[in-house]
Formats: sequence, C-alpha cells, structure tokens
Amino acid sequence: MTPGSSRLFSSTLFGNHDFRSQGRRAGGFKGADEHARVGITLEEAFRRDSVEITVPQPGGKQRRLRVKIPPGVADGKRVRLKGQGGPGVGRGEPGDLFVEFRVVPHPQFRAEGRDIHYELPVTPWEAALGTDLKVPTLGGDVKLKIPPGSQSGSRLRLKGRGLPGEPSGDQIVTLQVVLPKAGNAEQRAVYEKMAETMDFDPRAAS
Amino acid sequence: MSRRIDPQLLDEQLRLTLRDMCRICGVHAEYLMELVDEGIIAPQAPARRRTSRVPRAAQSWHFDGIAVVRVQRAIRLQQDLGVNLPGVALALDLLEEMEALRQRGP
Repeated sequence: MTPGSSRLFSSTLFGNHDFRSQGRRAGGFKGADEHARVGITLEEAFRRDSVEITVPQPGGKQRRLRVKIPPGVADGKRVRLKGQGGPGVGRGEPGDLFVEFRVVPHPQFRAEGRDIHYELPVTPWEAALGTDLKVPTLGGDVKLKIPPGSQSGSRLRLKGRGLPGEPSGDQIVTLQVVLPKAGNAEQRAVYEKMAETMDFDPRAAS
Repeated sequence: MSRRIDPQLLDEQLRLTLRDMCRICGVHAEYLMELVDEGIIAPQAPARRRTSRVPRAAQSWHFDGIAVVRVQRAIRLQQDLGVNLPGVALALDLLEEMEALRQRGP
C-alpha cells in the first residue's frame, strides 16, 4: 500500500492484516466495511417499519439512510447492506454496511428471540374457574381462554402472535394470580370459609 | 439525504458458500478453514480431513448468517486484542452466552 492510500483504510475495522484478502479486482480496492447499531422498539420490529440509521464517517461526519426492518429481526440480529459501506478505491467496488438491531426495553412485553413474554395478572377465581380474558399483543388485543384449574405461573401460548419471521414467534402469557386483601369482616369471612371448605395444603408432599 | 435499501438478514436461514463468505468477510478461504478447524464456525456439509489448501469438500460447504458475525468478531479479537484462535473461540462462546442471558432478562 502506498502511504497516500493508507489513510483510506484508517477507518476500517481490520486494516491490512495478512489474513485479509484485499478485495483487489481490476485495478482497485474494495471499500471499507462499515458497522452501525440501531435501537428499535418492539412495535417497529413487529410492523417492520423503516428506520433511520446513522453511520459515523471519518472526520466526524455522519451519513443517514433508511432501512426497512426485515422479517425475523429480533434483538441482536444483524443485516448486511451490500455496497453501502465506504467507497471503493479506483475501480474497486464499495464496501458493505452491517447493521445490528437492538430492541429497546418495552414497558409491557419482553422479547426472547421472536417470542414475546407477557405477564397477565388474574384473580384466584379467574384462575380456578377459568374464563376468557382480553390480552394485549403487538398486533392488538386478543381473547385468551384461561382454562379452569390454572395456577400462578401457568404459561399459555398465543401461537404466531410474536415477532414476524420464518417461523413467526409466539406470545407466551404467564399467569400471575393476585390475591385480594381481606380488608373488611365480610372479606375476611370469605377467606375463613375457604380455609374451612378447602382441603388443601400446598406444602403437602405430592 | 435518505435512501431506502432492502437488507440481507444474517440469520440461521441464510445459506452462504465458502466463496460468499470470503467475499462478505473480506478474507481468504484459508483463514475461514482455520476457523473451521478451531470450531469457531461450522459448515453445514460434513467436512473431511483437509489435505490440500482448499479441499474439494470445502467447495460444497455452506455457512449461515451467524457465521458472518462470528468471523467478523474473530477478526476483530485477533486484530485489536491480539487474541490467538483458541482464545477467540472461547471469547466468542462467552460473548454469545452473555447475549443470550441478557435477552432472557431478569
């Protein structure tokens, strides 16, 4: 490499190491690959929105471009944008741009790959007797059948309601039974009645 | 200035030949074969014991998109931190385990 051209490679990640092929073709060098990271919301990943990506350039400048989120994107997934990296030298082709998607934390949902986890608070009678409940998903509310005899921590799967992809993720709903307070005499009586009626010891060896 | 481009997802479903891998990662086939020998990337077709510099079996190898990310990280670890290949293999496994744990959340 001539001294003049070394500057062009100063911004590359890897420099001119011996195991790097130099991409030399027909009187030129392939441009440098560039790397960027972009934070997206779960909603953006679900709708597969276009997001703006800022690529830092040598000399403190920035380059902006829009990228449509492909199906199958989850936290930490990377895409390659062919020819969107640094310009080639001479007749060399431009480098590529690699973008890493980071899913930002969501107040309601937690993503694990393409699966979406959601905690649904339920009353003891809803869990014990079963019912239909409205559950939010990224695609809007859906009705979920709570089977009778559900326990706190029971997991119910909403097939295909997670992030899109091949295959799409599921939404996994974890039931969280919340006990009402025994606030007044009448309410306390209900618990006392339960204690009498229910032949139940959760610590009994099964 | 804002153009829209369709990206290529580097996931488990992507199928890349050895030649694709060389082009995308900007490395020689010999380097990728070293990484295969070290278990840092694994081709999908069974690899026979290598005899020549580029064995015929290697021509039918396929890699997924995750391998691209691993190769890029391997280069960075070797280049920037001076880690040797067994060290690279260990560091990559630990990094990926950490990422998996981070995703699983609290």
